Amino acid sequence: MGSINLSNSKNRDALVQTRSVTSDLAVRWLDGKGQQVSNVRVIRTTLEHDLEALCKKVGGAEPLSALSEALIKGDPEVDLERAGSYLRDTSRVYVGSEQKIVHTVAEWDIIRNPDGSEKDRRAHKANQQNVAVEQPLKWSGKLLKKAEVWNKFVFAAKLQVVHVNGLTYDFLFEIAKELEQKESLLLVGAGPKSNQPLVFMRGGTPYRGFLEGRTQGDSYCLILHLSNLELRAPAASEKA
Amino acid sequence: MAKGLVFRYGSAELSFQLDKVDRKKLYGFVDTVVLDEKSQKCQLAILGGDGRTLVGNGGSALLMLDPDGAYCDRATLRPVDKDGKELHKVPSSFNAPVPLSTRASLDEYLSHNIKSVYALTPPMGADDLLAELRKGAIYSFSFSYRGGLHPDTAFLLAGSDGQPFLCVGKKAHLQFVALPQAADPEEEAENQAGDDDEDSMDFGMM
Repeated sequence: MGSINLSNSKNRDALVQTRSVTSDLAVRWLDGKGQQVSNVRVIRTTLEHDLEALCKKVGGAEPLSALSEALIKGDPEVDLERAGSYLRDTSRVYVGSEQKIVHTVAEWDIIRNPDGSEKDRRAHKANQQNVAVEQPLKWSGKLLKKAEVWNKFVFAAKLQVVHVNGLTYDFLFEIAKELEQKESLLLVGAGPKSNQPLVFMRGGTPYRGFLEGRTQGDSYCLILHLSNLELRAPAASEKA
Repeated sequence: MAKGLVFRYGSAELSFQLDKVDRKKLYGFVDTVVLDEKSQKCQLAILGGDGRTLVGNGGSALLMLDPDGAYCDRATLRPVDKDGKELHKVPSSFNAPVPLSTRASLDEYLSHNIKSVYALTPPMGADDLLAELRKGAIYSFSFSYRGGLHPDTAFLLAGSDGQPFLCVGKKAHLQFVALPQAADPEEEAENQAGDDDEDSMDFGMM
């Protein structure tokens, strides 16, 4: 469950919850006795025994040929103590050219065009979460008719917006009813002009938000559709 | 030319070519480069729980073990769902023509998370189908690219510019929500009858 600070058309805001609606695809694997098996991650080889390290170790003008000879003669690629042992309680680290952990790094983003050519280069900046901050997501007023917008964007993910108490039930039910009656999706954006993409966690993917409301008697379903892609063919396909 | 996806539309079999659409192809992409203090490129690695073992890309593997810790060959295992019901592998949708027999509503389409999109190149003779799609028709069917245990739901539709697309996704678990149901009215009435105004004003109990 996450949180979202949402405004309605009367400019009243409330902090409510978001619920994940992704499918639960639990597959269990059973052995011949009907017992459930489990997955474990094990070490195949360590960095000290990978191709780069072994080439460095054998040296010479043609390290790959020398390494091939060494592989025929022995097992330099096998770390007898560690190969096959469980890999648990791990951390992700950066290593430098010396295969040692690097503690101070600089991250750069290279922005590339669809053809791979470089467009820009800038210091990496992680996106900050902006949906449950002090400033609520304003009612943008941009209502897009469902029948006109459904095939313009790819709705890659969605969240269900749910109440946390009786007051927010009324608040969200009203929004759902209003959107359903107008047969429209509300464009939801962050920032003072509601034009910035939504980011749900630090470093998370930015999305455009489209709020849809459905009701059934006293119950409602308020869906925040998330999209970061337009439904259109790339330039090459268009030409074809 | 790659194998096309064949649709059975009426009595005709129409083979469409697929071209995956993603952000990279439409808008470009961002490469993140990590440099150390000497401006040398760094790579990500896994640090083991012992604080010493470093494992690089491809340096680890997943194994399946039985409850006694013995290795299990995947070929000898059978998959079941969370309720214990056996799951069967479905064939790839490219193996046989896909009948276009089920139409989906707009709400059904909007109730799915779309994970892959393919632009379709129609063959000759697909004009009737394209005309129907351009009027807003959406066809849905079970789809598996390579075959597997969990087929997705695919939607055949036309984009706003008339280009046909195949949108593949999974159904989202949407639920209508309401306030909790009021308690049993009879029980509620009994509780109210048992309430004594004098009890609620008993200052001595505090």
